[in-house]
Amino acid sequence: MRALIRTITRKRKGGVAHRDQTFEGDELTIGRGTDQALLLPDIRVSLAHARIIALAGKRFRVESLVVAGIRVNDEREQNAVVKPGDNIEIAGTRIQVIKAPKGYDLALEITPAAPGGEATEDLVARSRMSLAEGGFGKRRASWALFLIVFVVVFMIPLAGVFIAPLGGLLRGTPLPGDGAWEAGELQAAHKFFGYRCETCHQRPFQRVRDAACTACHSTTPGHVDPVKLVATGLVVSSSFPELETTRCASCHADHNGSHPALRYDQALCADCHSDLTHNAVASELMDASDFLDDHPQFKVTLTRYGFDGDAVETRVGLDDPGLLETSSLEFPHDAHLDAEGLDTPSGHRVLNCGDCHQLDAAGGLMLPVNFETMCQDCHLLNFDPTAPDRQLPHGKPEQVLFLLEEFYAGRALRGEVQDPTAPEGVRTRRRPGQQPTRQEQQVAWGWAQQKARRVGKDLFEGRACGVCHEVTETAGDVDTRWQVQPARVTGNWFPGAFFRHNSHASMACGDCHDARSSSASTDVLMPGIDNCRDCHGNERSDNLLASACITCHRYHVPGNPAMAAQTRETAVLD
Amino acid sequence: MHESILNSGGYRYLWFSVLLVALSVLLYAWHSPGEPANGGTWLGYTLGAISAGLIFWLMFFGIRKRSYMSSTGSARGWVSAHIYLGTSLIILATLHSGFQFGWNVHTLAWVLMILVIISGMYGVFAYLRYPTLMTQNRADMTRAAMLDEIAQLDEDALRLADRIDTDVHAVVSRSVERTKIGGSMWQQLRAHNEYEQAILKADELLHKKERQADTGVAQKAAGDQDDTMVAMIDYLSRTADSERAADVRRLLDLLSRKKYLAARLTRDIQYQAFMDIWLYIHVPLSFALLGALIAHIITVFFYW
Repeated sequence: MRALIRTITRKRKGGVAHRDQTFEGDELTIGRGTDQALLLPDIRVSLAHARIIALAGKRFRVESLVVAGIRVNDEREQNAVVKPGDNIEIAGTRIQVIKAPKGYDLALEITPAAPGGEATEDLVARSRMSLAEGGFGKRRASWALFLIVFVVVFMIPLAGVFIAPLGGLLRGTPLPGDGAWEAGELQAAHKFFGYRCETCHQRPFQRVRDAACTACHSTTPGHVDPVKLVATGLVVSSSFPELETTRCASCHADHNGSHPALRYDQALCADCHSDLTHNAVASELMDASDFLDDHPQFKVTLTRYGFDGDAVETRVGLDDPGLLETSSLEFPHDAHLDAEGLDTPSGHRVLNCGDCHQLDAAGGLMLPVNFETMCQDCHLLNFDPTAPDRQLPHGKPEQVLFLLEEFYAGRALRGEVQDPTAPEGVRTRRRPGQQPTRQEQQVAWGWAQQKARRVGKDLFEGRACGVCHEVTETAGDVDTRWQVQPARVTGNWFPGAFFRHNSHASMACGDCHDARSSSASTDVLMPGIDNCRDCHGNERSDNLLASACITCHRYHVPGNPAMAAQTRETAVLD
Repeated sequence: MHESILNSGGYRYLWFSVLLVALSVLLYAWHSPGEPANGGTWLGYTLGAISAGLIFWLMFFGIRKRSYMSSTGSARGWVSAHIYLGTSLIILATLHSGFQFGWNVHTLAWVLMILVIISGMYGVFAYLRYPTLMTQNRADMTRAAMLDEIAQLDEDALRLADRIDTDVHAVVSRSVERTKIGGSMWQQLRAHNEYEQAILKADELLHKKERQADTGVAQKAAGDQDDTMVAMIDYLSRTADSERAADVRRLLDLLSRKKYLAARLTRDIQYQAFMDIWLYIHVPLSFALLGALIAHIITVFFYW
């Protein structure tokens, strides 16, 4: 082996020079010892540190002779096959294998370790003294996390939105679909949508349109009747722009939990209702903006019946001097609620409100008082002392005289009449098979008619009907002789409000209805607003029950045209 | 008073943040949107816009802190603002959420934000605590000086070892070659002293030699696997003389000094790592937050 050893020497002014040596031998020894072919005068180098051996085919192997080893191309090795371009490093001294010039098998370029500092540089080179050198970069991790998060929670679900089969796959698996975008729990009634977001969110970047709501909620009535509004000279878009711009979601914002999402703030209503007297002169509604501080006295809706039975609803304020219930019923509450009790056919009884007033199945309003089940216990419709269990039907005055005539005619013909003033023929019991003569029949019928009329007059005018009803005698025939005015007691006094008795079950009836001191059925026993304000405040109250407008009133007024016909997309009123 | 990252500009940013938080809390308490509090009310949008703006601005700090030529405020002022406004986000963003949390991208953004802030809080702790400890640990030396001295000790040790004999030189040389300060992230944090491991054998060997040099008795250590070392011990025990024993002792002194320095240096690196490590969580998590935040903003309007 013939090797060229070129040693680079640094000059003082930064220049570089080199000195060439030629080595000939089988084994090129490297070390600090003076017997070494390549002498490296560095204390870190062993006396005999390494050697280079020629292999077949102009290849060379460098072998370390000490455990510390050598660096070949920056890797610590015990031995390695080297070729031109490779770099051997021993204690800071670089031995570069270069292309051998003509006549040489091997050429080495030696760059000695720089005096001083080199050892430190070596130490620093071996060491990793900052986290940045610790093989962990912030930049790469940052990009990776950014992309992972963005792809997983945005790009993949977004792809699912536009590629239906992928979306279906994502929604059916724990993979991140657009369900991961859900801002909050859907209200319970909407949960059957599953993750079909497009049920409501029909177009990207567009707020949910009313049409999406009315697709299902097709019968929900609107807030106003546009026809009526126009009839009173008002135009939705100019007088009440809010009615135009208010979306279903303005009040019914979903994704706020499983309980029905509903705006309950009174400001929403007060926007228009605080000044209806100016904004809607034709409206009969009074201004209100706050239950505690700005709400008129209640009005009850009374139904007045005309002569022909046609009903006219009138609204009368509870403070109005003309406040009279015209049920045509004669009913003193105080007498019935006598604390001492009443003597009744079934014994001594103390009546309570609940004996007559019972809740409807929904628990909201009271059922109409029913004569048969509530009054008739005491107010028996019997008519003859000798037949105390026989009673006349209630509410059918035109049948009364017929039934009485039939009853007394039967008795007279059978000779069962016990009245000593009656003709003898009708008081004499016939033997079985014995038929009354024609004359006897006429006597019996004549007596029965008289008796029926007498008893009927007694019943209609005094003992039965007249006790509670207005009865007038006419010149009419048997069936129309007495006209009994039907009782039309108001069923729902506050149809515009939403009141539930069962929400107030902890209260006594008398807390709101002063029935014990009412002696006339014309008294309206509905409580006024002050009574409610004992417990109910406004929406901000914290020492009263917080009550907003929608605590009692509804936005969707029953009877108005459906929202579906009024949605902004299909508004026809502009 | 010494101006630190916390009291820059007379706690200017602390007061600003406290004011911002107090205003938000008051508005939140006053605000009654008529529906459950959520990010979609006017206050929700406002708090969300402020929070998002703050997050973008806080992330811009990563760029600003590299702009050494920038004249917009001092770097210390920026750090101070970064700390206080960043902390205020805990309140602002939580109020923005209306305390509605769920398994979704929105809460993901919130959780990432909280993690970023917590890691940042650790960063403040580290910046306030470790520089003092580092100064104490370095004991008036710089890291470069310690490294230089270790390198010098290495050379001296090799020279001494060379005087003792070839085997010892080989062992010390190997130890020198293996001397690495620091190491992987984990090793830096644990103050793992690889050097200590590397010289353990050399140290052990030298102690044996020292004893043998004193007593002149060869002791073959049971289970000693290093044949070279055993041979060396045998050799030394036969040829021990007092001059050599003195060299061995000096060598041991050098190694002891090196061990001391390396321990300090390793501790120094550990403190530095404690001061740096949180950034490896803070910064990547910030970018994860950025991804989640962008997704959050786009998706709430995508499904408006």
